[in-house]
Formats: sequence, C-alpha cells, structure tokens
Amino acid sequence: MQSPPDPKGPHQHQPTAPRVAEMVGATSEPFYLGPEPTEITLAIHRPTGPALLHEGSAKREVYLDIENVSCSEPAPPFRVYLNVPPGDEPEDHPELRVGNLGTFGLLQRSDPKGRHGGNGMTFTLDITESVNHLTAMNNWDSGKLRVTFSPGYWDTQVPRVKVDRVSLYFK
Amino acid sequence: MNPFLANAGRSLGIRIRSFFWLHPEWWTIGLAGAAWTVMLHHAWRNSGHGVHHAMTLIAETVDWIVMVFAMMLPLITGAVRFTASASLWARRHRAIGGFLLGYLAPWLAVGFAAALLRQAGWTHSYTAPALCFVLAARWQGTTTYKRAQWACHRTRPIAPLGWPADRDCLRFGSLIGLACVRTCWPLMLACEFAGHSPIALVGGMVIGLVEKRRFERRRRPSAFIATGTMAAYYAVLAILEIRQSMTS
Repeated sequence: MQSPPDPKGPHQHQPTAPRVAEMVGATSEPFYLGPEPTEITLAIHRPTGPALLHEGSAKREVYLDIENVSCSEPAPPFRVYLNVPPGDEPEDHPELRVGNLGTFGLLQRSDPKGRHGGNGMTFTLDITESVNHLTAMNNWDSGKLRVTFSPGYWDTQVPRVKVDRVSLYFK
Repeated sequence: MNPFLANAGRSLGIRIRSFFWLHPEWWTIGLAGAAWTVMLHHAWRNSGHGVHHAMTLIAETVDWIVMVFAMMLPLITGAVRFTASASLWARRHRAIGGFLLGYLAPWLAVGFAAALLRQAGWTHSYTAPALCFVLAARWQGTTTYKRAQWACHRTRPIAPLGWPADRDCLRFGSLIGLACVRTCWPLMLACEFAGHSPIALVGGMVIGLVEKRRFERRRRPSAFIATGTMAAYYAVLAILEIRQSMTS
C-alpha cells in the first residue's frame, strides 16, 4: 500500500544528521564453514550512538557484514539464513534466506602474497526487509541473532572456509 | 555526495555532531598536528646544528616517536576509522587508543635501534641521510616493499567486548605497524639521520602521501621521483661537506 503524501512536501523536511552505521553485535572469534550447515549466534547490544535516532522505527536500516571470508581452495557459494528454527534444515525455510556469498575470486583474495594481502572477501547484506519480516512473524530477538550458512551445490569435497567475523550494523 | 552539499541547510550543531560521528579519527589527526608543532619547534631551536645535532639515547628515542606520530598517523586514518567502525559505539575511542598502542610498538623497537645508531659519529653527516634516501628509492622497487604495502591495507576481526576486544585492537595495530615498518623504514631512518630537519620531514611526508595516493588510485609511481630528489639534495650537501672537510 502506498503511504499518504507528506503535506509538507518532499523539500519541507528539516535537514537532520546523516545516517551513520553503528555496529551493535559481532562474533568474537573466527569460525569455519564446511559441507554441513553452520550456525553461529551473535549477541545484539542496544545502540548508544546514531542508531538510537531510528530505534523502533521502520526506517531503520539493518546490515549484516560477513568479514574476511578466505580459503586456500576453490569453494562453493554459501546461502545465508537468519533465525532458522532449531532442528530444521535451512533449505526448508526459503523465507529466512537473506543472501548468498559468491566465492568467485576467493582464492586470489585469500593469497597472503597477493594484491589483497590475504584479506579474503567481505560481504555486506542489506537485511532490513528480512528483519522487518522476522519482527512481524515474532521471530526476531532483539538480544541475539542466529545466522546459518549452508553450502550450495559442489561436485567435489567442500573445503573449510574461514570467516573472521560476522557483525550486525544498524543505520 | 559532496560533503558541502550534504551539509547544506543543516544547523551548525548537527554539522559538528555529524563531523565527529563520521570522523572518529579526528583526535589522531590532532595528535599528528601536535607532533608536527613539537618537531618544527625543535628543528627551529636547533637549526644551526643540522645533522650534527647530538642527543642522548632516551631523547633520540622520544624524538623518533614524535616523528612517527607526525609522519605516520596521517597515513593510517583508514585503519583507524576501520577500528572505530568495527567496534561498539561506546568503546570506539578506546579501540583507537588500543590500535595506536599496538601500532607504536614495532616503531618503538626500530626507533630504539635508530637511536643507538645515532650515537655513532658517522651518522652525524649528510652522507648518512643521502644513503638512506637512495636506499628508500631502491626499496620502493622491491617485491617485499609491494607486499608490505598491501599488508598495510589488511584488516583483522575485532571482538565486540571485554579483553578480547582490547587484545584484537592491539593486535590489529601491531599488524599494521609491522607492515608500515617494512614499508617505510629506510625513509624514516633518512629523516632520523637528517637530524629531524624540516626539509627531510616534509619531504618524507610528501613521499608517504604520494605513495598512499598511488596505492589507492593505482597510478604510476611518482614517489620514486620525490625520494630521488631528496637523495640528490642530501648527496649535494654530503659532497659539499666532504669538500669542506678536505680543504680545512
């Protein structure tokens, strides 16, 4: 449904501070992805900075960062899911899928002697709509977030893929 | 968006708040500015001594650290900003502090070695900085230098809370510090042996900024020309010094 037009018009808004992303939760240690789905949990802290301006508002943007993904062998892409019910297969919940980690170029970016210094790949997923959906479905816990990584089809042995950190940003 | 256009119509209070939100590294630049003031004041007070200015081991080491603050901190604002943005809002300045401590540790070790070298008489001549600038120009063409430069742009995960967060900030800082030492050691030695002369410091800073810009824009090196110019300048001074000592 379209929202009613603002009576002040688009140019009548009071200019406000720019949106600044605030980190509200992250994993503490690196972990590995493999042939089986991997679930990690991160604690969400209450914002204390610019994200407070949009707390509880539908305008709040939410981003999930998967940082420094690296591997010394070719690896499959991984699907990312949020808050999959315990015991369920993530593939049974396509509505909880928030994105895909493409691994094209992963080898080059993981090479410590290469141009990227072995930094690996970092992915930023816009999960704003998914979080709104989870909130509407009563499947959003403001204190913690469960993230599940599930490998895509791969015709050989799935290697161990290192993920340095998963972090959550409110903006 | 252009920051000037983005701020159009915003009140001064919001502009100031936005600046501090977007630039948590502001006090790092402030530290660098203060260090430049100290270095230039010191150079002005001892301008008559040139490369022959002698100091104690401790004073040399302290001066080295001030020089690192002045010359290196403006070059690592990206890593400082990353450290802040990867930390919880309440602890981002503490995270920057941890990063800087870790960053300074490898430089302190090199600084102590440089201060020890500076106690030897032969480093108090124009030949020493000239040779170091030549070495710096040559160093910029090596694979080790390139790899070290790439390593300067590495990132590391930072835990959100507690001592693991402090540990990760220190570790990330020391990783970037080590990479910077591997990249810039001949240049910094040249500045040290030049007796912290303003010409050497400004020249070294320009070379660092040109290299940073070249890395970010992937343009052809011009830092080599700047380093070569500094080497030529000090070579001329060294020749004049040798000729003067031969005639007297």
